[in-house]
Amino acid sequence: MEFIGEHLLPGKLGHFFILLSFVSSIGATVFYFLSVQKSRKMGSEPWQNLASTSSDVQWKKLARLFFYTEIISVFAIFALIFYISKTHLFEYKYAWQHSSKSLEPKYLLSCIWEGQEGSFLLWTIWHCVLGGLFIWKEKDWEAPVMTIVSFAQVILATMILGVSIYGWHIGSNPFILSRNSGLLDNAPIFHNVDGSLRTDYLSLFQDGNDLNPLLQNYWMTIHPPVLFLGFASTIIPFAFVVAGLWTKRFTEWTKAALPWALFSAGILGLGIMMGGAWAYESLNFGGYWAWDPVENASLVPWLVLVAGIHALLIYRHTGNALRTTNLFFILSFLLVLYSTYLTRSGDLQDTSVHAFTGEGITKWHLRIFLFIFMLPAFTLLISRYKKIPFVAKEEETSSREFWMFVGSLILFLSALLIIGMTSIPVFNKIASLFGGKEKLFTPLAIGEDSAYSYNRIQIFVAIILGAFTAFGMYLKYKSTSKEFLKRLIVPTIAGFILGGLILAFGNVNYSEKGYGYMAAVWVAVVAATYALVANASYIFTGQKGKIKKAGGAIAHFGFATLLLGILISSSKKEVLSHNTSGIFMPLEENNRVIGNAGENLTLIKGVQMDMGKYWVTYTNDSLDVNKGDKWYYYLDFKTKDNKSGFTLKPNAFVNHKGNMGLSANPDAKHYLTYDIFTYITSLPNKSSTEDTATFREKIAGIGDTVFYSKGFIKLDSVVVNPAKSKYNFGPGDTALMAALTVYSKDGPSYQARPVLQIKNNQSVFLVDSVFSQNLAVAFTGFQDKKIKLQVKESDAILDFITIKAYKFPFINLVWAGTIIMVIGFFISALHRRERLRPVRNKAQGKQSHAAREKLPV
Amino acid sequence: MKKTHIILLILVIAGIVGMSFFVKDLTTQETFSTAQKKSGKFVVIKATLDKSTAIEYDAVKNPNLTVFYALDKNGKRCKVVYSNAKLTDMEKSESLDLNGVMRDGFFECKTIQTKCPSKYKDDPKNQERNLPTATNTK
Repeated sequence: MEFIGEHLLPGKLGHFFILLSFVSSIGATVFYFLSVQKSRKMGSEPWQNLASTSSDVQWKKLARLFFYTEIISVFAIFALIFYISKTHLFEYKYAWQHSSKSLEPKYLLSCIWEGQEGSFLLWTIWHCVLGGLFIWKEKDWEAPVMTIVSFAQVILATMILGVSIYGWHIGSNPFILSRNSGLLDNAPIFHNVDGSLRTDYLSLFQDGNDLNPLLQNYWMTIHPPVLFLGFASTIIPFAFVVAGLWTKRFTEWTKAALPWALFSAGILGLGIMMGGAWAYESLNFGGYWAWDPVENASLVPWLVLVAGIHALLIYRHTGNALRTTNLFFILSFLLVLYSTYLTRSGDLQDTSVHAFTGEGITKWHLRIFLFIFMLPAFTLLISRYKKIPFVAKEEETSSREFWMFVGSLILFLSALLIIGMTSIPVFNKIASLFGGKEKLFTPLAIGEDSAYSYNRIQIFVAIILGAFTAFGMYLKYKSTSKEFLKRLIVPTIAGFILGGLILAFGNVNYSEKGYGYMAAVWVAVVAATYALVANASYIFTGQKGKIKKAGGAIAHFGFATLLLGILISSSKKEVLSHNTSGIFMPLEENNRVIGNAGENLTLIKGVQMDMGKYWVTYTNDSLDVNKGDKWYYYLDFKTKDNKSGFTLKPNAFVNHKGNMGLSANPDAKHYLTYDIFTYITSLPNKSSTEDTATFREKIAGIGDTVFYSKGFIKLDSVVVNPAKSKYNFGPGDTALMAALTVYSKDGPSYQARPVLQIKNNQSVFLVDSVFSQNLAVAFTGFQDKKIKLQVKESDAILDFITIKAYKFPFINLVWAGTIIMVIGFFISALHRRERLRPVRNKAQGKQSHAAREKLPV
Repeated sequence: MKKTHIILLILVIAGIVGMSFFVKDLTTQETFSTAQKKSGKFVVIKATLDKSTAIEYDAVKNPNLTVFYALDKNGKRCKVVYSNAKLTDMEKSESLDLNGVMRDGFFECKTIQTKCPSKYKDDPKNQERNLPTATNTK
């Protein structure tokens, strides 16, 4: 049957490329695998001096062709999804579901990764990029590592395969048509009387479902790609380990793996903190980190990866800890898979604010994804564990590796605790399998203050790691002489003094959780400051200011800064919106309410409110004209000494796309040492007061009058760029203000000043209201030398908003620390990569690197 | 590897201590009736909003008080007092996780997690609702 207006070609092409990518990744896996097996049979050291005619090289070349085909297919799929979203082909469910005609072009990419299918595709793309890079740069390890990467690609391709075999649905095809997806089945409007679909059904689609308003934020265009690059890149250290175990070359991979692992840790760390930045800017939990399961799920692999890097460094310098390195790198990738299962299977829905559902890609599919990697990796590790070289001699207590090892164990332990706590829904699920009818077992839930349950354990991790990173760099591998230790004296004293000063004058008095916890925070602040000072000075004393070599110290310096930022910003967070309005009605005696009551404050339009250091007035609101339902609320903050002020514009989508309620985005004013952060928690409920009034359009010339139920409105003049008005336009704005006088029947007259503002080629309407007349007027455009006014009369004009406002001190330390740490990782990765080159030419195949490289990190 | 063993032992103990703190903090998912027996103890109740009674929230009077009624999974109805602003997506929520303490005659709620179709846009029910039908077009 033909349907009018459908574009079927992109979908057909898309599905073709999906199948092609599936088949070619199988091909790449099989032929890389054969290549490895062939060369293993050919002798003990087949990796060098390979004749190009030998069969393993032939297999490898074939595998490469398949992988290149895979790369092309995956990019084609991506381009096609982008195309259907961009051209609003709502015959495709994906385009309908994730985009809309009013969506700003900059968020088009976000549409792709809003859906399950798109985010798996993103992962696949990064595997392609990393795989391509690997083929180009790492010839020695290409075959075994690429076997594993290609195999991951096979599994990822099944996620978007969308085929049914004997009633089993495998994956979810992003190119499924709306009419085939069941989407239209229960909507009679699309059907003829006899129940068949109307041939012109497509013309009935007015618009798409749109991107979730929370994701309409620039961080959402950048955070998912970076995070997924982080996730995707953890496969490389994993694949190196498995390749080493598989080909029984237990030690040779360590040198090549280090830069990849460092890169992975850098990019994953960046991705995680970008997620924090997104949460801070567009979610309303009032911070950048909430120990949400989705956040934990990305943090844990990172912690284990960092632990693995430290273990690997120990091995590279001393020959110890190779087994630990194997374990940690394997676990960090498996934890990425476990996290994917946790956050995407829907099993976590109850505990997370932003977990995805299990629609489309099934739980079992994600579980298989985990087990299909876990079982072979663990089997290999366990069966060949004894063959992995280790050093029997114990490390000296004065050696660097001893403390590094303990530090990485602590990182690992911290990761275990976090993932254990996050997995409670999984435990409940498993327990309920045995419990029968829930008689034996009451499902568990995280207690009263979930963030504190995490914090009070992790604070000790912070203290220990802070201290270790401070002195660790001053120790030498093998053993450290007393002479050497003397270099520690000055930074230690300086660190403790600075830490003490911060405590003395910084007023870090977080007593909400008792004095024990406050003391722990104090110790952690000193430890972090110590680490900061010690690593900063190490860059100059230890590495003589040679930035190239100081990657480690820079990363540690960044980590310490981040730690200090976390400690200070969260323990000194201040609520500004304490209810001091005077219209607070005390609760009845028996409704006694405990807890952090009183963080919401209602602002009535035009009425100045007291908020700590500030006087705050809700002055105005405006509608984003491109987004019919996105409102900006203007809050004027003035310091009480009247010296300075600023305006914050938190916004909210009101009843977006037929969804009841509002979805609010915060706004923040950033200062060097603190942020003022505010968001809307409640708006007058328009539906409950039956505000059925709509704006009616009136055309008026200058001097004309327009009637409303209680009187008339006269247009006095139109002012271009009004200099002095309550709106405070910037020099770059163009604004037209209609000066109106409202004459009411009862006698008094009022001024109304609606404004039509042109901002970045978009018009913004600033609606003005006359409360006593329940009248709202907007100035929306021109018609035949007259102006268009929109007039609304209603009983419920938005005249108050309820907000929360916070002051976050030193949040910039968090961001700066992250950036410095990531830079440190990258410098280190580049440096390690450079050091690979000459060594590789000279002494191939020898294992004496430990002796040769005594350079500090 | 004696020293490492000692360290491992210490870490295992530290881990157990940390975990036991966490386990001590754990609470259970209850119903209104079972919560009544644990009056004064912090619990989690999986409930749905009773839509037959309007949510009481007057931001002008007190922006930090929301009162509503909820039904637990056995259908028992209970008054809930939430000392915060009304959650913006409460009416459309499919279920509410109420975290708080049972008091005399009402449940004192500290935090609420809502499960909403809008956050999970893959939910088919919501998709049907958002289709451009005659009443729902813009």
